[in-house]
Amino acid sequence: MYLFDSGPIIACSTGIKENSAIAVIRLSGFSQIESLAEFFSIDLSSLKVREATRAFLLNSGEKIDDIILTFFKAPNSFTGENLLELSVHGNRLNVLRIISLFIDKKIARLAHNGEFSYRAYRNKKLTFNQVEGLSAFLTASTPLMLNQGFSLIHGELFSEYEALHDTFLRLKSAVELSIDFLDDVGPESANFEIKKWSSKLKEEVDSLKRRTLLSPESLLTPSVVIAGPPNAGKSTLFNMLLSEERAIVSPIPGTTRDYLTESIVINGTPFRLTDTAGMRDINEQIEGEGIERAKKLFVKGFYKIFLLQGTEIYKAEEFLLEIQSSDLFIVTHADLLKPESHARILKSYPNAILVSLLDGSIEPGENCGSIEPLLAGPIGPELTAFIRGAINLRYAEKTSENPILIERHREVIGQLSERVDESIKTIDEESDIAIVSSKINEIGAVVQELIGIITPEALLTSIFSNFCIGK
Amino acid sequence: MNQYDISIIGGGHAGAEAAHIAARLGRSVALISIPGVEIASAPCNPAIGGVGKGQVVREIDALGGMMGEVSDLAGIQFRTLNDSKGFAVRSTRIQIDKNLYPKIIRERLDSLKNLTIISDQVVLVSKIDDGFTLTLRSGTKLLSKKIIVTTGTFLGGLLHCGANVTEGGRVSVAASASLATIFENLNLKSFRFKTGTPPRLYTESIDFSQMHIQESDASTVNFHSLHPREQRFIPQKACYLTRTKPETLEIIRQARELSPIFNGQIKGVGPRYCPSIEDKAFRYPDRNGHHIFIEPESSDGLTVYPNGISTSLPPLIQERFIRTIPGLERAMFAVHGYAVEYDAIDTTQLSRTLMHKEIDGLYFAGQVNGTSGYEEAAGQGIIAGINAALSFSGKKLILDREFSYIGVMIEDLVLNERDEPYRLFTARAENRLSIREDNTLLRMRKYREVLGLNDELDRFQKRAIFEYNSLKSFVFDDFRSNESLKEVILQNKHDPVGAYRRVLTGSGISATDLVTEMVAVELYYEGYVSLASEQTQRLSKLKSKRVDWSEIAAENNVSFECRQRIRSAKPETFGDLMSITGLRPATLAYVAGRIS
Repeated sequence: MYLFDSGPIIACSTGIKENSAIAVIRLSGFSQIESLAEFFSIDLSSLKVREATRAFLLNSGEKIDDIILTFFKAPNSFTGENLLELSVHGNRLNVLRIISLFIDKKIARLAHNGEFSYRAYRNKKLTFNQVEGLSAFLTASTPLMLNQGFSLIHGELFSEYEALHDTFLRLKSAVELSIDFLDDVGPESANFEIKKWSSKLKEEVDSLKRRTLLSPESLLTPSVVIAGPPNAGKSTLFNMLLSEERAIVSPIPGTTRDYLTESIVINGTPFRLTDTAGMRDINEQIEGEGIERAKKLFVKGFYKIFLLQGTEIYKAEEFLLEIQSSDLFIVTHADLLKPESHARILKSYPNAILVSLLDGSIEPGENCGSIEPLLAGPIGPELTAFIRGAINLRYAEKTSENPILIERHREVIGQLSERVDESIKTIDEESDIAIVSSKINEIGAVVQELIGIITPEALLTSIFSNFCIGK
Repeated sequence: MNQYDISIIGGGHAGAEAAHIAARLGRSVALISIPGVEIASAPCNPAIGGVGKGQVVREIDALGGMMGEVSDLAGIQFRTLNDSKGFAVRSTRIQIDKNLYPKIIRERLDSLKNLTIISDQVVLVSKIDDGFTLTLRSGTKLLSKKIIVTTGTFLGGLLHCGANVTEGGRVSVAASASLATIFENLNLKSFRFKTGTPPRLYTESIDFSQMHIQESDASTVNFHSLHPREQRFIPQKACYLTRTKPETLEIIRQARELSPIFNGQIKGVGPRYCPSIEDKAFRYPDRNGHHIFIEPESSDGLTVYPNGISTSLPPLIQERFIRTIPGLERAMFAVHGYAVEYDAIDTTQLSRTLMHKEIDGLYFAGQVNGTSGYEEAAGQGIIAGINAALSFSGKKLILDREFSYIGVMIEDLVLNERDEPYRLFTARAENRLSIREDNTLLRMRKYREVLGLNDELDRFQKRAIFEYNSLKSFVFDDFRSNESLKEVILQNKHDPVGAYRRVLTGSGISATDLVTEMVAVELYYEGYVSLASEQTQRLSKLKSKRVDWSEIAAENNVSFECRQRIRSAKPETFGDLMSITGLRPATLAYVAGRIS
């Protein structure tokens, strides 16, 4: 993509998949605004910079649209070049006709994916980190990604990386000091400095690393997985959460043969809600596979709900692993159990909640928060409201750690963390200081990569081509 | 009027090496040295070598310079610095007899027929069509095709000792006029730098019983490759170690207003890495003790050099604080410490041959280039001397930064405007793992070859390289596998050379110590070197990309300070840009994005 010429480019920046009231077309990189005189009904030489002006768009003197144009003069534009923004009527045909007009008259060519941003980057209007942020921002499908993209655009992560770079330099100079100035500083103080800065670096990298531990997938499209043996009430809960009938609810064990996934939105974030196949030993092949899949799905779930019928509470031993790793353990038909069993269950499984079919009361375990026993239907809106609240809380908790979602950063931070650990091991074990130093230099290369000093071309290409045209 | 191929202005370490090698290369050479100072004297610490500098001395030696050989001959205390820290950072340092060293140098120079030593002072240099005319104080004029300026601290020299300011290049020696006066119409850009030296004390007034003794190290290998490795030529002397006390620093702190460095009397910038004791006292208020090495200055043992307490405080204050130091309570002063301010030129005006980019035939080397240290000076001197001499046959010699410390230094000098005196550290060499003292010969052979001297040194180097090659190929291919040999070495990390020697002896192979060490250390570092070079390669693609410095320097997104630095260094490639000191990573990131 670096072979692109730097001539003028044009594209619609607001998407042309559907008709809309307004579409914005951007034209960037022309040398003189006056060269576009024939397309507009107004005198362009008197056009004020950065001021919206109404005009007719002309094709060979004929009015074809009534538009608003805004001129951003180089270098004070998004791309750093002369840039004209046309707000036109958003009919698809109209938009395409206007773009074709400029292309046919050889004013500009159609922009490639991400080419506007690429030019902004080229012209140093954006840093590499900001481009990554922009990419994340524009393609975000969750509030979380939106926030991270925005914080990258504003250089917040970048400044953390720069701080890391400073710490690295302090460590590096401590090592060099111990080589070149040992007589001046003395061995004790030299070693003290190395230890001090290497542990500071480790601290900083560890804290970044912690922010990459949750997979972006689990945060961006987190899943709520419902599992349990057949007929525990999984589909009922699934449907209740969805508030619509999707699964076939039936009293015969094994009705949900494979898993079902639907999307639910909790506080603005979309979650994948999955109803797994019933977990039980069975030789029937299809269902056997479904069970395997169910177990895998469950392990990966962001919020895990395990259901068990009260009468089958003896099976809890069999599913101990799942129950213990679940976020919520729902015991249905709790009315079929004796009250002393209730107490026992709540004591053994602090994440348990008891649901009674008969009087609809719910008894939460101590870890389930402070909800009162409720009088309502067996698996009813009270329960789902509680679940939605718990999921929201968990999500807010996880995202409050400011997770790093950009894949490239996660990868580089992973490498960085390995290098730092290796270096610290080398510092402890190696007596040859030049080897220690060369190990530490490897950290430097990775930190620089994080900041974006080294930007392999393939990486750049992939970033820019992920943009939509016109961005 | 006398006419010379090459005239060298200044007879310090740079001038002496330049004159020597240029004469050896067959040019007619004049070495003009100020009266009253010996050639290649040691006005500060009489020690040659040190961390990073020992490597330079060995490089000079491999090129055919005098410094290594004469240091061995005049050496009274030998040390291997960083001995326990690994081969790559190990450096030799020799304390020399400061009377003997210049004497031997003078003998060497006197023996060269086409070298004339003129004891006079240059007052004016004018450019003429085919060279320069030089006017001396005595009124004599001479013609020279090339000039090498090695004036050290003498240009516009000012000595400070307390409030007492005198003109001079060093204690009791007159200064020269300023750069601008001597180099009429040459429009040279210069800076004011400062350096300092501690007082000298009479040995008999010192109580050594309170100090820690440090004997000369008998196993330190001589600098000169033709000398038997561990031979000593004159009797050895001991060094002593003591420490400042809290009261020492208290006296200094109270005298702040009397210090020319802190009261504004000295305008020049001093080196951060060779701080005066005043600097240390004020910059590290938390530290209450600093090491002082008491080093003998000569075989006769008359005076010592207290290393670590360079000062320009008034003489009375110097005496007060020195006498608080254990063992120095009754110290008698032979000379008081002082600071010197001098003109240094902007080395970004020079090319890698050390010739001025715009004034053909004018070379600069040594402290006038803003460097500190005898070794740095000598290293530049020999390169300027070689290039001035080779230029007559249209050739040049440029040392690469990947293979030599001299190359590192010269590249640093010509790329970066100095904001403080320059000293070599091992940290300046990216390739530190492979540019070591032990493999100097291997690294320098191709440069020495260019000189075409074919003397005893060349024959020695060729023999050693032949031995090295056969040892490597014989052992690797026919006798033992590369891997198993490396294993033996890595299992004996504390003594890889000994382990390798035992393997050789056990196999009935005899090899010189020089080559045994060269091969063993190379095997020892092999894995690390290839790892490091992988990293370098990753960067080198980016590094070789061209950048337009004028565009970057005009960019508002780049900080003012970075723009200043870029403007003065005029980097041509991204690699040049990266080697500019003090650039923010953000600037590099910007530029990297632009060019990739």
